[in-house]
Amino acid sequence: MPNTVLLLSQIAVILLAGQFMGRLLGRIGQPRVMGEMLAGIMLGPSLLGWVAPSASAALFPASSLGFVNVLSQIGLVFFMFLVGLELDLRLLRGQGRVAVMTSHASIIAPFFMGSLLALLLYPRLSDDSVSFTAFALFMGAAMSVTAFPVLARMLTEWGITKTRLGAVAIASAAVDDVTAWCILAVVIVIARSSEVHSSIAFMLGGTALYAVVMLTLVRWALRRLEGALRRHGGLSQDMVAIVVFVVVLSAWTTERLGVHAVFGAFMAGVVMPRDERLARPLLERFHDLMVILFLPLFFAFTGLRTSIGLISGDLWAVFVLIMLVAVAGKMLGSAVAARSGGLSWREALAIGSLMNTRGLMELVVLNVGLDIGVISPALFAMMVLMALVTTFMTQPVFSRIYRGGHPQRSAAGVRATVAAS
Amino acid sequence: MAQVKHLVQYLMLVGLPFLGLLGVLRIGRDMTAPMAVHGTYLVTTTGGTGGSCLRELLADSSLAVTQSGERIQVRVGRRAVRLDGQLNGNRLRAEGELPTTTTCPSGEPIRFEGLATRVAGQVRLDLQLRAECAACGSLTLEAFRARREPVAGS
Repeated sequence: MPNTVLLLSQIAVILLAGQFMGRLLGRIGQPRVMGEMLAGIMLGPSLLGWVAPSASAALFPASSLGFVNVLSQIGLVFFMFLVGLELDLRLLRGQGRVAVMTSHASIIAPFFMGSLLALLLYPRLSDDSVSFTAFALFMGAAMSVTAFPVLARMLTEWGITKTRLGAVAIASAAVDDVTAWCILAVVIVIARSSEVHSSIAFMLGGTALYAVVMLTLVRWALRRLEGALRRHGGLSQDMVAIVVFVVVLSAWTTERLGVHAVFGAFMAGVVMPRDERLARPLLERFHDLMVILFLPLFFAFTGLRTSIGLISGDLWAVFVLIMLVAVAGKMLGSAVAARSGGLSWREALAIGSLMNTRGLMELVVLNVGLDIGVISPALFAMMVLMALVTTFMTQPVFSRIYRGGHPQRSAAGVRATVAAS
Repeated sequence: MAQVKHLVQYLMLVGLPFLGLLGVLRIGRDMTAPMAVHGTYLVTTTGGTGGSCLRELLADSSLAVTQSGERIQVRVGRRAVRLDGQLNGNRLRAEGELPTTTTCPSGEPIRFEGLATRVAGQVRLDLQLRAECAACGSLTLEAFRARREPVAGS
């Protein structure tokens, strides 16, 4: 039984810390999400557990973390649904070769470099319960993630979605997202196939069948909602209930298949009709609760699992190497591809800096990796730090590169719009 | 001509790294990582000498091992005493400070011997334990993976 008083105290502290840090980071031009991510780390063993271990043990006893985890997982499921709902692959149309090349290169370059890094990290930071293939593919997938929702919000706030740079960046990020999730699903199947006593063939076959059913039958059935929307003149409570049911059922299916609930939730979002009368109100209804309550819980749970104290001695050198690989693979990979597609170096590097935004999508991927045991706690801590640093650097790096060609947009203007997002 | 140029660029920027990835997977196929010992174990006493402080701490308790390669962190007993250590082959050695509340007779070092068992999936892992503390100050835990065998009936 959960200790309700303790759980409510934990939620209150998490929300307060998230709000405080979100506002604080907003003042220096960083997105709120950055502050909330930092607040999560601060509540964990890296800061609170280190400076006040008794307070940490009283507020977050190990036996109570299961309930925070359940709440954060529910939040994560619905957040991934919103990510899928916001994803619009039609953005790729009309972007031509540049978008195709940039998106593909921005995945494969960091993926390759991540797998190369795995050759060094596997004997040092993994163990023989994980195969090298699963470890290398996971490192590749983790390095190639771009935070599509954060990126889309930034570009909208800056008002550059209609520019060539904005359109290419957003289309590439959309392709990155889908590809990274597909690859991660395969990694999970490989890593979990022995653990859950299923054969790879069963898990892959089941997942493929599930995807076909979702993209055909479920998508067709959901289109009937559009007719209901027309009849009711808007989104009714019954329709929201149907959507929630589809999300939960889809998440349950992928979890049962041994993949992960987040994939089912993401897929449910992808197959939803793109009717503005459905998608927009759904986003509005879920968004605030998600951003204010559930995501801070997820960040806190991530922070409680992150022990920066595990990074010591020569592991700091490994962290620097991870940072170099992450930034070089993603930023330079995207930039060189965009330049080859005909963009100027300034635009190409600006795209590279945007694609380097990993944000909370990276945290989702890393938590999945830790859950299934593909990465060790020390590597998890290093990768979480990498996600924080690459997210933090997006705004100043982009601002520095982009300012040159757009003198009418001051640095302060860019900072203000980022802070608002 | 432009089509050929783009095709060549695509092959250079996408095809080459993809081939590189395949190469890495091939090279890494035979790589080995340290033995897995992470997980939560149940401890049973098999022997030992001296007072009751280590028995109090370790007997019929749990042992949580966190592993990052060869780096090990162990949390022992109901008080979750933290020990940091290293794994060498199948031998594990971790050290840490005992809580000040632990009471034991002064004088000779105290030894605890036990067996820590964990069932992971279809495999049972046994750790042979040997712990020593001198005057209840620091605790040294040594263990080696004794057995790794299928669970009966699976």
